Amino acid sequence: MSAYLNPFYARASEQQRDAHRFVTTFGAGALDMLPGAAWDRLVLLRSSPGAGKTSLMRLFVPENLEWVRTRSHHTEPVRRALMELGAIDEQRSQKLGVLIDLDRDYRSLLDLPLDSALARSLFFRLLDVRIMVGVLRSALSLAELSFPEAVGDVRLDAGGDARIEALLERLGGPNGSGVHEYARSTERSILRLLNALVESDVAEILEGHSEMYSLTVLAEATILVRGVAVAAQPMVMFDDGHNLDRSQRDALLNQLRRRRPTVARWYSERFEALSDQELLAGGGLEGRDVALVDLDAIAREGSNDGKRFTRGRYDRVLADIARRRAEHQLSTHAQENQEFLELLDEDRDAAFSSKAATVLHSLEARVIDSGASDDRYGGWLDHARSLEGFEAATVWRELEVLINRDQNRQPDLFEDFLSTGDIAKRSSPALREAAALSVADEFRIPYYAGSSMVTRLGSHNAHQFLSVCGDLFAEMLVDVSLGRPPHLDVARQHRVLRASSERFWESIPRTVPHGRDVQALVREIVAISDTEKAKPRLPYAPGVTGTAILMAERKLLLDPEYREATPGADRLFAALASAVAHNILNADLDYSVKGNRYMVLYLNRLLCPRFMLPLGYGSFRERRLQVVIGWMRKLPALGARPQELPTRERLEL
Amino acid sequence: MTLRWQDYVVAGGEADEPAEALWRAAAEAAGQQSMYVLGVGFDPRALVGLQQFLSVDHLQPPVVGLIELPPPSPASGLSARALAADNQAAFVELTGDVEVRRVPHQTVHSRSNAGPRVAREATKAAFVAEVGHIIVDVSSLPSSLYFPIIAAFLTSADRGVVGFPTEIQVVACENPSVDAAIIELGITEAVVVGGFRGDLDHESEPSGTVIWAPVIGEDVGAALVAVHDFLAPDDVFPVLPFPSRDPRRADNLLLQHQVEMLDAFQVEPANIIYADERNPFDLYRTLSRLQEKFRLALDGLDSTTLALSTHSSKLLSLGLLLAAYEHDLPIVSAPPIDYELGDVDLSQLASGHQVVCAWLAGVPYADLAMSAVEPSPDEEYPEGPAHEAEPQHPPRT
Repeated sequence: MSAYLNPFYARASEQQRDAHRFVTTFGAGALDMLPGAAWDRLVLLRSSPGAGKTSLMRLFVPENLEWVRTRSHHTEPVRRALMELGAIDEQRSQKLGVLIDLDRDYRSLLDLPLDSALARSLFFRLLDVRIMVGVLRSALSLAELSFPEAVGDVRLDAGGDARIEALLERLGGPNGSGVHEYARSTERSILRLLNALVESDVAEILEGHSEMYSLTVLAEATILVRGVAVAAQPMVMFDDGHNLDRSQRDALLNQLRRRRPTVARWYSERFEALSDQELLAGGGLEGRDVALVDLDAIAREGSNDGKRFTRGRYDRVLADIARRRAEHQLSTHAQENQEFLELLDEDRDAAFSSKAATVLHSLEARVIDSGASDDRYGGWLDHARSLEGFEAATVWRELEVLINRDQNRQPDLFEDFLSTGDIAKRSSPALREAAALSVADEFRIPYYAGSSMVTRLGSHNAHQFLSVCGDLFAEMLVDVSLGRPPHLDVARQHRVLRASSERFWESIPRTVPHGRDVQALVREIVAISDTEKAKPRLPYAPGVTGTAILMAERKLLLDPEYREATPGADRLFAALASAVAHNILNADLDYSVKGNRYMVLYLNRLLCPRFMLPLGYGSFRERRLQVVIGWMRKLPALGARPQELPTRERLEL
Repeated sequence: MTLRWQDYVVAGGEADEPAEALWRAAAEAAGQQSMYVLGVGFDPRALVGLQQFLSVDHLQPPVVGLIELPPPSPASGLSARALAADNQAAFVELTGDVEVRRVPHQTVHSRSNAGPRVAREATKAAFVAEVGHIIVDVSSLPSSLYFPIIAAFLTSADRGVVGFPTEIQVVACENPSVDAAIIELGITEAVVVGGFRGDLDHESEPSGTVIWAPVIGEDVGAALVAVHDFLAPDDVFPVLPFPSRDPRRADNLLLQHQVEMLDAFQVEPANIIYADERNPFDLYRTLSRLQEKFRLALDGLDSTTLALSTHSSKLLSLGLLLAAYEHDLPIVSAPPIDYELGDVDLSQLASGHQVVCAWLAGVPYADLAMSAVEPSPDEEYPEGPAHEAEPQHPPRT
C-alpha cells in the first residue's frame, strides 16, 4: 500500500465537488473541439464513453467558470480559451450554466401505470422543474448567495408578456421561492410514485407539461437577483442522453432544436454505431439550428475546417492533462521538475543490449539465407551492418521484408544495385513500426514504451489515457517510496503497459454487456492480424488492427427482420453494438475505399499490447457480413467461456 | 436510539436451532397457512430451503409463492442457463402437489422499477390470501427484487394491513464457495434499488453531504466504480467482513480492491469498518450506529445522506436491508446483466450449504413496549440472544 496518492486514479466523480482540482487539471485545448457558434443553436456532443463530454460541460457551471475567471495563475490557458469562446470576460461569467443529468429517473417514468402521452408530459414537467431549480442555483451562485436560503431573492420578469407570465405561473413563478416550492412538490410527488412498494401508494396521478415551459421562459424572461438583472446567458446542458428511452430522446431533441437563440442548449450522448441516432424525428441532423460535435472524430482527425483543432492536437491535450495531474505529486514527493511523460525513457538499447549479439546474428543470417547474398543488395547489407542496437535489428527485419518484396516484383533493367536511398524510397514509417514490433515479438524484447506510445494507448479517450498513466505512475511511486528518481526504463514501461492491456482485456466480460461475445469478435480481428503479419512481405504495415463491413450490409444488420431470419445476426448485432458503445471497438462510419463505403471497426489501442499488435491506425481487412455473422455462429455455445488458445491453434481448429 | 432489531431471532447456520424450528413456531403463532416465497434462477442453492420447508410437517397445507424471473439472456454463461433449466424442472417436481401462486415477470424500462412492481404484486390480497406466515427465500433472487419485496412485506405488516401475514421471516442458503464461483457479467451502471431512494435524486433540495458505505465482497471492483460514479460521495466507509470463516478474508478484500478503495476513492484507512460475515444483525447494528453518528455530528450544519450498497453475501445484504428499511437510507446497486459459473464441482460444494432463517416481524416482537431510555450512539448494542423477543419500533409509514 503506497503512502502517496496516485493523481491519475482519482475518479471524475471525486472532482465533481472540488472546483479547484477540476479546473486546474482541465486540458484547455479540449475547448477548441467546440464549434465557434455554440450559443445560439442546439449543440449535440457525441462520443464514446470516457472521451470527456461531461467534463467539457461541467466547466460551464458557474462555480467552475468563476474559479477560472478569478484565479488565473494555474488556469490561464483555460481562462484564455473561455474568453475566446465568449463564456467569460474580465468582469463576469457570460454564461449561466445548468447541468442536467439525464441518467436520473426519467426513463423510469415509462414504467408508471400511465398512458404514453401523460408519461411524456410528466417527463417534460420533471425536466422543467429540474432546469428551473438549476437556474435558481446558478443565479444564486453567481451572486454569491446560498441555495435554497436565498431563493426568495430571485425573480423572473416576463416583461409584460402575458404568455410568458402564464407559463411562469405554471412553474410556480414569478418569484424564486414559488418556483422552488413547485419544483420540490413536483419532484417529491414523482419520486414517491416511482418509489411506491405497495399498491395503495400508487394512487396519485400528476398533471404534466405539454411542452418544455422552462426553455420558453428562459428565452423570454429576465432573471433578477435582488432586483438586479443577471447578465449571463442561460445555458442548459443535458448529459448522458443515451440513458433516455428513444421516444424521450426524440421528444427532448425536438424541443431543444426549436430556435431560441437566447438560450444556449447542449446535449450529449454516447456514440452508437448500430443505431439510427443520426436521424432526428422530422428532419436531418445538422444545419442552421443544430451543430453536431463528434468528439471521437475530432480527436482522431481534427476539426472539419482543419484549423480550429488540428489533427494530432488531441495528443497534446492529453499530455497537458497528464502534466497537470502529476505536477503536484512529482514536485512535492520526488522533487522532480520534469514533466510526467518526460520520465518515460525511450532508449530501447538498454533493454536490448544483453540479447543484441544473438538477435542481430540471427536476423542477418535470415536475410542472407533469403538470397540477399546477391550483389544487388550489397549496399543494403552494408548499411545494416553499420548500425547498432535495436535500430540495427529493426533495419535487418525491414530489409528482410524489402528484399522479399523486391524478389517478387518485375525486374528493373536499369536497377542492378540498390542503394541505401532505395530503402527510404521503398520503406515507410509504417513498415519500420511493423519491423520493430516484429523483432520485439520474436525475440521478446520490450517494445511498448515512451510518451508517444502512452498517448496512443489512450485511444483518443481521456479516461483511458488517465488509467494507463495511473498504472505507470503507480510504478513510479515505488521509486519515490524508495527515495529513487521516478524514471521508468523501457523494460518497466513495457511490463506495466502489457499488464494494463491484460487487465483491460480481462475486464471485458465483467464490464461490457455481451462481453464474452465481444471478446470473440476481438479474437477474430486478432486472428486476421496474425495471418497478415505472418506474410513475408507484410502487405499491410504496420499491421492489421481492424475489420470493416460495407455500410449497405450495416444497414441490413440494423433491420430486425433480417436479424430474425439470419441465425447469428442478432448475436452479432448485440456484440457489435456493445463493443462500440463501450469503446472496445472504435467505429468509423462511411469510410470510403475502393469506391465502396464501409463501417471500419478498429481495436481499442489498449488491447494491442496484449496481442503484440501495432498502435498505428490505417490497416484493416474488410469482411462480408455473412463472414462476420459466421464468427458468432461458430462459437462453441452461446455464452460459453472460450478456451484461451493461441491464435494459430484456433485457426487450425 | 433504540433499534428495532436490537434483539433478534435467528436460526439455522451456526445457531443452535435449525431453521425448521422457527418455521414451526411462526406457523403455530399465525394459525393460518405458511407461504414460502422464492425465485427459481440459476443459483444452485435456489431450492435447498424450499426442499427443507416442504419436508416439514405442516399444520395446514403450505403454499409456495413463485417470483418469476426473466429467462437467462443468450449472453449468460452456458452453465448458468443449464442450471436455471435444471432448477425449473426440479421446482415443478417438488411442488407437484402444493398450491403455487405466481408473480409473473414483467419487462420494465428501468431496472430499478422491477423490484417495486414485483413487490406491489406480492402484497396484493389475492397473493397472500389465507396466509398468516410468509417466508422469503432470497437465495436465488437478485437484491434488486428481494430488497423491495421484503420492505413491502414489512411495510404492510407494520401498517397492519387487514389480511396481510403477521409473521415474516427471511431465509438464505449461505455457501461462500458458491458465492465465489458465481461470476457477474456486464456491470455497466448503477441504479437506485426500487423503494430505497431515501433522499437521493431530490435535486430541488440542497445536495448536502453524501456518505457511502459499500459492503465489500470478492471481485467487485467494477460494481464499486459504477456505484461511486453514481453517488459521487464525499466520504466512503467500506465494510469488510470480520470476523469471518477465513480470518484473512478482510485483508484479502482490501488488497484485491486497493486501487479502487485507496487510490480512486481515497478511502481513509480509519474509515474501514468491520462486520461479522455470519450475522446480518451485526452489520445492521453497525450501519445503524454509523448513520446515527453522522446525523448527530452534522445536525444543524448540513444534511447528510448515508447511502448503502452491497456487494457481498446474502446474509450481509440482509443486514444492510434492515438498516436501510429502519432508517430510510438509500441503497444503490450495480446489477450485472448476466451470470456465469466458474469451473467448479457443484456436487462437492453442496456440502457447504447452510440454511439460515431470520424472523423479522411477528410474535417475537409483538408484546414488548418501546424502551424508555435511549442509549447514546457510542454505546455498544448488546449481542441479541437467539429466540429472545425485544422492543418493537412504531410502524414505518
